[in-house]
Amino acid sequence: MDPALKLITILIIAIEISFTQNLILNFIIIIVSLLILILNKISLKSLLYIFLVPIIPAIGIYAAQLINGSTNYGIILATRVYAYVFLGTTFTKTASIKNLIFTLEQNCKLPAKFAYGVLGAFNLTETIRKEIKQIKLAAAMRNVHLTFFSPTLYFKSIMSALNWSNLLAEGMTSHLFVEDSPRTHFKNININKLDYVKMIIIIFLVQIVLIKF
Amino acid sequence: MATLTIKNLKFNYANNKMPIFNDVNLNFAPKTLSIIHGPSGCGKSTLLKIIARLYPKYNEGISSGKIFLNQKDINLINELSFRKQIAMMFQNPNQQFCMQNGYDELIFTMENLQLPKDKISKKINEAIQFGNTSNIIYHPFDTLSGGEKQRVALSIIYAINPNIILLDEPFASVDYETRQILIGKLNQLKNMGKTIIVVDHDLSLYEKIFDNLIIYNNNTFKSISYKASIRKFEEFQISPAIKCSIPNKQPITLELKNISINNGDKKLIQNNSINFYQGYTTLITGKNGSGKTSLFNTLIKMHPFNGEIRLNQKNIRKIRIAKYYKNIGIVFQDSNKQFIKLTVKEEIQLSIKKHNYKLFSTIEIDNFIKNLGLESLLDQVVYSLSEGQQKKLQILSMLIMGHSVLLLDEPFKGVDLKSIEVINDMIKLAKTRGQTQIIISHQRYELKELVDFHVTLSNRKLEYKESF
Ligand SMILES: Nc1ncnc2c1ncn2[C@@H]1O[C@H](COP(=O)(O)OP(=O)(O)OP(=O)(O)O)[C@@H](O)[C@H]1O
Ligand SMILES: [Mg+2]
Repeated sequence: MDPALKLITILIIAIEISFTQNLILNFIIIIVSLLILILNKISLKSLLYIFLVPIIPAIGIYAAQLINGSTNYGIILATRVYAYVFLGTTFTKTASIKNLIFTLEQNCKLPAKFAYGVLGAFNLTETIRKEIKQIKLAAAMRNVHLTFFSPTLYFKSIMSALNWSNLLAEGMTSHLFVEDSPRTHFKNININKLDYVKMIIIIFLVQIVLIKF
Repeated sequence: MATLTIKNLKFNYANNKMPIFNDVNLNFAPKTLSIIHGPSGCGKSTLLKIIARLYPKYNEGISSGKIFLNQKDINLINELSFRKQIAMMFQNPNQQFCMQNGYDELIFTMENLQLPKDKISKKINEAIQFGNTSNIIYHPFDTLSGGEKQRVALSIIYAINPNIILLDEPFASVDYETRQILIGKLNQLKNMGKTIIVVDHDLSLYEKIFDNLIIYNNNTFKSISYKASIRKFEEFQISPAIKCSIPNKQPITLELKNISINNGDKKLIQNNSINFYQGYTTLITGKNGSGKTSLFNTLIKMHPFNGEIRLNQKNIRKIRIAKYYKNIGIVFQDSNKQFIKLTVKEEIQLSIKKHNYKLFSTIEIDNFIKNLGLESLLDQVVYSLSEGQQKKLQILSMLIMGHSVLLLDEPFKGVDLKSIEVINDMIKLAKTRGQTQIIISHQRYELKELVDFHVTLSNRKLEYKESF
């Protein structure tokens, strides 16, 4: 499926589950996402990771509702957290960011500046992750042991991320990226008609579940 | 073909009162190769970026004066057509790439150039051939060695095919053979009618192909006469191989036993044993991409390996990281990866406060700061230092730490001859006080008195040699 359509579909589903209270839908979303992830050969480690990470917020939310006396609502909220995480993971594991950029630029007519901005933002998280690792190492070499909670770590990584994003714009310009000037495309991405059909069917199915249950 | 003319150019960084250069008047004709040469921090990169119209846009500086491309003020030329005519290769290749690998970066650039789809493949193939990058072009940038990244960057410039080519230390991380090949290619480009401007600290191998040597003096850049140029080139004659001894029976600090290291699926070192000796300086050389930096990463426990490494007879797998790093330190190839503070002064003071062992007295440190030319930069933010200034600060900070073993990865990259001498003095002094040093360097100037032993990395083997 085209990455842009996929993103839109997932966003619509995510919005729908945040405005409705349907436990069954939440479970269906989690199970279907899980199946897709398994079919895409997700590693056991990442699978464990997406199960464990949401556990704290999920339990927290559930506990808060328990105090209010509404157990059912608590369960819905807790599963909703999981549904979000699974939807998001399904997207990132099955869509290539590069193709998303290409389709955003070519089919959604988003200005190239924004499309590559999205790319920059995606790379930024990776950059910050590496940056944090590097800063910890550099600090250890100087007998400074930064922990996960050290403000220096965040101050410094934000500093270098900012510096990096400035340099990125300059680097792009040097490779002839000029705002608002037309570009050609080496890889043409056309949205398959079937993709629209798929999207409509999925959203339709979600509505049915919502109405029936 | 294009001519570039600079008239009364002056540039101030926003927070400085003094201009870093003024009264620059230069002319660059087609079919010529000009070299710009001067000490670290004199403003060479700044000058190239102004010519490339990247400054003042990406920097809060003020420039005055005019630059003409074929008699036309560059600020009046449409941006894209300007960029098609003048392209620049940055000193730090990491700052020029926005995609994940060379192939995607080439496509991105060609799309910006508005090349039709069917021409792009052909262009890319030519560029890959020019830079001899076929085996690295699909590799993610963060797995490439410094020299490999420079070759990719050069391929991209070739693909843009501009009339005026600006190169900022294009060979700082490439090995001598590759340097020879690439300088030959610059000559080809020149003969095709290009106007080439190179900034280089190292003047070797340019003698036969240069037209114009521009030197920084009295706050400005000026062409010098042919005769004076030749005299300058003589400082850079590569000395014949220097003899050194092969160690025997010296006390061992680091012992590598049956080591194998891979990078992805590439085998770098295979089942090799070697020792490094206490209180000596060992130079490691090897081609671009042979795995020198990966070896260093292994020694600081940041890269997986098979076999056993022992530091002072203790298996390093059994030493806790925090304790291990008190004994072994590294000067990274990329200077800005070393810094954890904001300003130059803070960076030096941190090392003084946190040192493992007091190698230098306060007076000695103050002297180093002065001799390295860092005295006037103490309050400057580390990011805004020139590449050479960063390198000097980085080495000073790591030497002050007083590790018993120090690894230095390309410590002379982009540093002028005079500063190389100062750095050498510091490293030598640290050695006389007991430090063991392992240095990776392509640069061979002034190494004679510093280096005790020489190890080469080739054919996946580390081996002691009798000369370097
Ligand atoms: N944003 C800034 N603010 C203040 N000073 C700056 C800034 N950026 C650079 N400088 C200073 O301007 C001077 C020139 O820097 P530039 O990078 O052009 O030097 P360079 O000649 O290329 O040096 P190198 O040989 O080390 O690469 C340096 O002294 C540097 O510290
Ligand atoms: Mg420079």
